[in-house]
Amino acid sequence: MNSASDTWQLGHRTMSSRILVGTGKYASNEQAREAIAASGAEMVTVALRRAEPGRSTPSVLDAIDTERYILLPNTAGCYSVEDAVRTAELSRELGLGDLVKLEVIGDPKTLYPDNAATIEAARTLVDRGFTVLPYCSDDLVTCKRLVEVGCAAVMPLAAPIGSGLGIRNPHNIRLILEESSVPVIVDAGVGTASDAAVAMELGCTAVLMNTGIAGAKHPVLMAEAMREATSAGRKAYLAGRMAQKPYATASSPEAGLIE
Amino acid sequence: MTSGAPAPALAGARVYLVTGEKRGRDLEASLSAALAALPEGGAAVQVRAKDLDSRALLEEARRAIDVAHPRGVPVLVNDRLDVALAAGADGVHLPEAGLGVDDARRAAGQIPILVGKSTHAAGDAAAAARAGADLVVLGPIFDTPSKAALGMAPLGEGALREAADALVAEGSPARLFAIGGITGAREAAWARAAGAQGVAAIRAGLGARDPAAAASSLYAAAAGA
Repeated sequence: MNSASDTWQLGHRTMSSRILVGTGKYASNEQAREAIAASGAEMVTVALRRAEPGRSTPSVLDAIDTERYILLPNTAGCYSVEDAVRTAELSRELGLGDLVKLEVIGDPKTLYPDNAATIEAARTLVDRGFTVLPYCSDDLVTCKRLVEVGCAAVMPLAAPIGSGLGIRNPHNIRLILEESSVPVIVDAGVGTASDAAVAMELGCTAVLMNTGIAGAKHPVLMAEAMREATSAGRKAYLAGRMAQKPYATASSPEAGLIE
Repeated sequence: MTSGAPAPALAGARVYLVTGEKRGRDLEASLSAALAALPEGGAAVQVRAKDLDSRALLEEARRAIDVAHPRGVPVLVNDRLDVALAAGADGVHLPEAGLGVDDARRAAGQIPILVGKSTHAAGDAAAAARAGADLVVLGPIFDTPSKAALGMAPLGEGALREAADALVAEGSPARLFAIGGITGAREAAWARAAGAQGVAAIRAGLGARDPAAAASSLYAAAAGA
């Protein structure tokens, strides 16, 4: 097993890195730049409502080398199908391509997605030629519907956005993985390196995070930790962990001991 | 072939579902569940039933075709080119000791067929591709109880990598699939990393308790997830 050849497929794009990062909540554009570089991400998600090219004030896009990273525009802050579809269309008109991380929020306190509206918006955007990555609940049926309407991946939350609570329901993520014919990317809830490792050990294709890095005391160091944990978790998944046993099994051979 | 519809192709296939012990209604049910869980054209089907008489095999092939063609999935019949042609299947899958690829094409004459070929060594896989096979299956790659009982050691991912590299070097359009010991997504991911375009499965595909979940997770991993 050569990890260099362990690529994954997002629509027609072949990806190597299994970590996707956001750009929000950094102390400065410089810090964002450094942290993104340290994370090893190839794909960076930007909130369209905060990134308007042509604006004179420093935009979050200034922090990102668009030659080096694939931009994944997102519809964060949209609360309706129309809003999300319009925002995605705006992104394409701005020349940001056909990729979109679809978010249709259903509740302002938890930022939980409106799954029904997300499915509807996804169907419309797929029909209009977008490559759609939907943020959704860690719900098997929702994920199945999103795959049916043609999403290129599904992005179930592990915990509320920005909560850092980790993988709250690994069983649900496992069920989604069992049934999914597209990449499963855990989106939201990853708070520290072990959370990323758990997601990858479950067999997830990739993890997407923002606050887990930007909210750390030392974001650049945490970005590096996240990169290593994501890679370690993937390797552990591919290696296939040992079976758990209730009692000890000696590590050293017990035969031929001096009597 | 269903009239009017384009012939199902192998280009999008990532999973090669071998019918194994499945027969009749049971085959229909598991195959339609598996194919419904995949994108159109995401699989190929091999009807293999060595114990059946010609007419019974023909019926199984027709059953598989009725389920597979509406999903854009090609059906190949194991070994029996005559049954494949009679059933209107898309092609034949040749066992290692079966007809040569060119023999099968010659026998099919004017009828365009897909030809699959089973191989047990990297060099044979490359040779089958050179002979014009559309689908080359190499294995057993991983440990498998059925082959171990026959005294066959797994070839390992190295052999798969070697065959994949040879096909790339020769610019071969043949699709390389791994078989043997593929129990789920993990082995499918290994096979993909070694350069295979897809995986073939019997027990871990249609023979699984939940063929839809089995097929989709194999597909996802083989396609890159």
